[in-house]
Amino acid sequence: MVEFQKVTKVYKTKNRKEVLALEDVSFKIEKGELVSIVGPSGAGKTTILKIILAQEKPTKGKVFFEGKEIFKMKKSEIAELRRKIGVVFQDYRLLKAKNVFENLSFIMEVTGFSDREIKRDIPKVLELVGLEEKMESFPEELSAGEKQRLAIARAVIHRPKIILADEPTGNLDSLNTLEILKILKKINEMGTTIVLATHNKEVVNFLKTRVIYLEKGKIVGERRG
Amino acid sequence: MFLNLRRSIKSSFKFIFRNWGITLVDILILTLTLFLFSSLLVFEKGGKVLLKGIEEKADFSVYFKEEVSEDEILKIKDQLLKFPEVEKVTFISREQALSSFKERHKENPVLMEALREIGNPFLASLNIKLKNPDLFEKISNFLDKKKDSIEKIDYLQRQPLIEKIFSITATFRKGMIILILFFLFISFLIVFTTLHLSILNYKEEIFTQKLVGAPNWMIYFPFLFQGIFTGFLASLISTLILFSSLFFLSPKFSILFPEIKIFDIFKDNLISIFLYQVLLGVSFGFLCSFLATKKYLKE
Repeated sequence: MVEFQKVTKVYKTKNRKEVLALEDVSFKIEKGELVSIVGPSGAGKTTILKIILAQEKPTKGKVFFEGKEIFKMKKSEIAELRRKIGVVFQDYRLLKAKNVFENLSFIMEVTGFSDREIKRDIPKVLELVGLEEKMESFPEELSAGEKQRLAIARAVIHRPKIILADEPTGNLDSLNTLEILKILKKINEMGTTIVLATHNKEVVNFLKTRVIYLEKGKIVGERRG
Repeated sequence: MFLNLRRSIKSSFKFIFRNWGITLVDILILTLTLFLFSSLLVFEKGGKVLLKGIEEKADFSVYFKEEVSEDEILKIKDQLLKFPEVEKVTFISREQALSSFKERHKENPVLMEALREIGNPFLASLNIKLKNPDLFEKISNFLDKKKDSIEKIDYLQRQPLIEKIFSITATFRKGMIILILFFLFISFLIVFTTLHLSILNYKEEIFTQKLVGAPNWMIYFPFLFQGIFTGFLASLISTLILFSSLFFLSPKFSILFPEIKIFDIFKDNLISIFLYQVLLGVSFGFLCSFLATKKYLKE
């Protein structure tokens, strides 16, 4: 489903220094897999997710999504690609002007769902993440755990082909972490591919799935689940 | 298409009412800008009335010899009217000249007595008003051909005054155009900065919407809708303020300039002034929102 071929990414800082984020990274993720990308802060995990989302362009190498090279896509195709991806951002990136219901309905409207489907699906997904009572609340009225769960709900609501989750348990206590991981596992069992970036080894141990180890922008190991 | 439009309009209204504080500030700034602009338009129209009155005085007369018949003079009048440079030609017969002189000096018995003794000393004349004093030469060439019938032309005596009047009115008109253009530019900057600051709050939100694959039109829509809504509402409020302020100020203004009925000018031009405001308010709101949103969509 996703393939990285010798991808290198160099960032240029404001004072024109070059920072190597990824170096010669190659891997393949198959449909239906749950893959964890593990490494310390600054290892390049977020950069990998950003490249899949076409938010960052690799300095060298090729990236494919469903066999199509991402960085040869037109603008309209990029938007289409993004609609096939569900993202849990590290900083949630919730739409602060919209309430919980509208945060989810916006994604469904973008991906072309009918009003009937929107009214039917949102309560179900909110129930799945335990936010059914917060439908009218705005993101700023939610706790960190609730925001995280809303971010997950937003990532799954439109039944994307793949979910990218960047440190989805980063700000949570162990109870909430466990809950989130259970939700992600459940979604994966329903057939959705998941790529999860984390620095938390407990998360990896809980999931017991494929792991790619990253350090200073290089793949330093891999474990099959 | 219809479904998307309905959803976008609905969410735009929610967006406006949830951000009523910001929307209110935007409306206030735009109302103030439109009010100043339309006041300028009303006063420009008032100024034109004043100038018209002054320009009426910038005329000259051609006096005909006694033996020239009225028919001949009227023929010359028709010929003069064919010149596009001629604004107005008025025929004044000897009798009309005499009676208007009598009317003006009826209080002066010496003059009246003298007139009775000498009869009618006045000549028939054509009073000519040009669109521009520079065009006199062309008319002068024409009048030269009729010099056998003409006793005198008073243009040369009146020339400095006529030229001065036209120069003042031309400067005023140019000045008004420059002032309006300058004001439009400043207004645009003010409205752009205000709307830009409102949209700046949603910079992150615009970026997120882009990352989740929202098409550009869907991201633009609420901001453009807000811009149009703000512009329309501001033009309505501004027209109402202008209406009431001119209604109360007009009598005081007439004391200074009796020939300018500023409220009547506003009433006569109400539709065009309102349409100008709507056009300006809506296009400013739309364009400024578009430019500000575009900036963050590009980032």
